[in-house]
Amino acid sequence: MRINGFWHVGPDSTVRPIIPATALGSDGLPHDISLLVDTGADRTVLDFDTYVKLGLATKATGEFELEGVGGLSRSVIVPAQLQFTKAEGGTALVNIQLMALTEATSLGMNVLGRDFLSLFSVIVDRQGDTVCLLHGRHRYVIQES
Amino acid sequence: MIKSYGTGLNAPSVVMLEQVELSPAEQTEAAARRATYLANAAWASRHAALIGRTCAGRFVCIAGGELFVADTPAEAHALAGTAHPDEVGATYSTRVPDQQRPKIYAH
Repeated sequence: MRINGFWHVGPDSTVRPIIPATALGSDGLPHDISLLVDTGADRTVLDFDTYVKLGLATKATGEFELEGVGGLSRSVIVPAQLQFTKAEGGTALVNIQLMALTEATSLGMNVLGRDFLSLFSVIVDRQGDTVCLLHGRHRYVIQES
Repeated sequence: MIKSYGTGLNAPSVVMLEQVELSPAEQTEAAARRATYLANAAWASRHAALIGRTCAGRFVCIAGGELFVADTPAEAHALAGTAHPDEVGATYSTRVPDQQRPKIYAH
């Protein structure tokens, strides 16, 4: 399995590695979102904008604290399913307990954490303009030229 | 980096990874939505400097090649949805940082 991403220029003009996905809102309708590939994150976290867009307040189960460089932020746990398009065709579904930030000033970007990334070999190659996740039959080879 | 605290949060959160085949109609719909979403995301990238300069601290939503700006995400999504109802689910939205500075995710 190969899931492709891309390098995306954010509103601060910084380029970051992104994986696109589809998440179902509380209304059952699909919404495409972007998630930052973040190997430093323990968990996958949705930002406040996506929390509102998907109507996740109705699906939240309890409040928890997340810690980052800026300190603690309040979040909720939301059971969700993320859909990823496979490069070879077909769709990968992941059932995951997401964290979602409930404060407007937090994060500012959805984060794909190691709870999900640990299922894959993660390629983040700025020089090669490549962002992808590999699983199963798709593997990487390191060669010396 | 994000560390999580709380009872049960250290347990694995991923329940299942499965591979499925969507119906032809679902594939067509998903492909169209993805193409529209990527186009909106690409528009945001091309106009990143403008968005960063004029929308600091606010929420933006891009649909149909147009920028919608508001003080809350709900309002930004509503503006875009009203103008481009055919792009609901495929809009690109984000909060624009208050200030331009390097970020270590998480916050």
